Amino acid sequence: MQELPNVQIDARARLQARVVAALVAVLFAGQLVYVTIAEEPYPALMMPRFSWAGPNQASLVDIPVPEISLIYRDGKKVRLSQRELLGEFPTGHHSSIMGSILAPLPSAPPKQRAPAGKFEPPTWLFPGYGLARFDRTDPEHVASLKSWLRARSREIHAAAPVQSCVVDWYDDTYPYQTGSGQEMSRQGHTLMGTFEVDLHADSTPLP
Amino acid sequence: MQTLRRFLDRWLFEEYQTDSKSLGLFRILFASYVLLAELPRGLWSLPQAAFSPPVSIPALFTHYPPHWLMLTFNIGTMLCGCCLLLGLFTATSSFGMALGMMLVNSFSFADGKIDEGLLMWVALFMARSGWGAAYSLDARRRGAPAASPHQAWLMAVLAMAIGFALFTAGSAKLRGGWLRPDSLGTRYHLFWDYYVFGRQMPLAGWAFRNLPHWGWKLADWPTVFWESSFFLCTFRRSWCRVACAFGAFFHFGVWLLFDIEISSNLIAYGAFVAWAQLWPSATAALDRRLQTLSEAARAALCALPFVFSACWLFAASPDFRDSVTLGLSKVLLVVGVVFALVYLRLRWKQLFSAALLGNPNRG
Repeated sequence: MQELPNVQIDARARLQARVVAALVAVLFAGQLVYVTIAEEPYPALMMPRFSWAGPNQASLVDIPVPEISLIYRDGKKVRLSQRELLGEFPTGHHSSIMGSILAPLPSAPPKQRAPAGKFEPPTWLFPGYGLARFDRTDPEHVASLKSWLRARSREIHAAAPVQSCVVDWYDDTYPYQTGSGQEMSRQGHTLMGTFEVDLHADSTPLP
Repeated sequence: MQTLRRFLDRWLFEEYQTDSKSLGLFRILFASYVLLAELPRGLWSLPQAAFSPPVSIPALFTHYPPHWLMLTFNIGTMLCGCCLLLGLFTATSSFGMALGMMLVNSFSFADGKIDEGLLMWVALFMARSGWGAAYSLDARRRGAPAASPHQAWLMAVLAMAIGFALFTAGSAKLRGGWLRPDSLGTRYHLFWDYYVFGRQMPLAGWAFRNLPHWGWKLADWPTVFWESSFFLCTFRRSWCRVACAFGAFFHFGVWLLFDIEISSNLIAYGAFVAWAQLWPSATAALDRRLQTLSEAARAALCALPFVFSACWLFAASPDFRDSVTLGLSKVLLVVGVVFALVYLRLRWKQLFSAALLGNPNRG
């Protein structure tokens, strides 16, 4: 099958095409610089990075694992994994969501919305940027979390109202072997923090 | 300087010339995939407490949009997808689809997790590429191909953009130490996937037990090399196709090891496949069949995407949609590997015959 000849492009259109191609290249170069100093924006010409190649010698790797308990007023206690609680949402988003809504509160309020060492975009322009990780004790934030947890609790056990949600955060320790031929098994399970939400209808904000 | 300019002009205006039927078939494949596997999206109801967008359109606001607005974005994008599938107002519907996907994705990623992808860029760059010149209502309305001339340079720019996107992944791995002989990048990320996220694929378990150090490095090095150098391959379409074929193996391997199905990238690579030339007799049969279709059959065919999309959005449960999407992704990953094998075999034969007979045949 013959390929169709390219449409006859006049000099002006050719110049426009060159400009567009150059613009894409220049914008990409700008994006490369931006993501070295700031968090990844969207949209961007990017693919998942998985940049760190891991430890290059045998070491212990700690993995934060939440254990979620819903306690109902009829005495029933339901234990859930992160995946079970957030089953409605894409799996890849679970860690991010848990970090925003059910991680233990930091000992001191965060000073900025961007991760440490990263450029923070101006909040007058991007007032929503990183909002959840910055403003977790805001009454609106707390009210929305409680409302959602109550609704989710009803879906899981409708027989009684929910009393509280307790999230115990453990560090699971794995001995990461750099050698091959070894499966790894969990060697530690240490409680690192707890986040509790009182879900009484008339309850006050988070502890 | 003149040589460089000639080289770039040749790349931009000639290298990616494609027949309109292949572009039309790709348009149908692309729109069908997006309607089936990418939409609807973001219709879940996260608490306001999870609103933590990256620098993006949602970051201009402080709240999630109301549900009706997300539904509207999805409906608009799906309508554009249906029009694109039929080749109706192709350029406009293609731009609309790119914009719609950008909006839908932006708000879906407002919890702070970005799922990077290429499809939005495909819709954007292909909009005026001429992919509505065949198998389209535009062609029937105005006469093809004059109504939608082929702009090969847009495909060259798309190839470059895909190369750039992959470069961000490859260069990050380079900086992260994936090329060090003593590091095992694939194994480290598989460790998280296997033990933390519980995606325990049989091949992953086997690899943990049996793969020697050099075997893991055989996964690390080609990954970094392929991701980093893809954009260099885009200066020749035949090289780009070879890079895409290796991409099919890469994504297949990622599925078997990590249980992560990235079939959307395969669809993006499909822009560079000469679909009409894969099976010429089937293309001819399709042409004949389309010419002999009754008006009623044509109307039914045109209504099909809209009826399907309405059912898909309003009647199918999210679980059902997820299971169909997952199944489709797995099928595409297998088909992609078969295509890649066949293409690489053909390329090998061409190179072999060229070396023996001095008959270079660019594919």
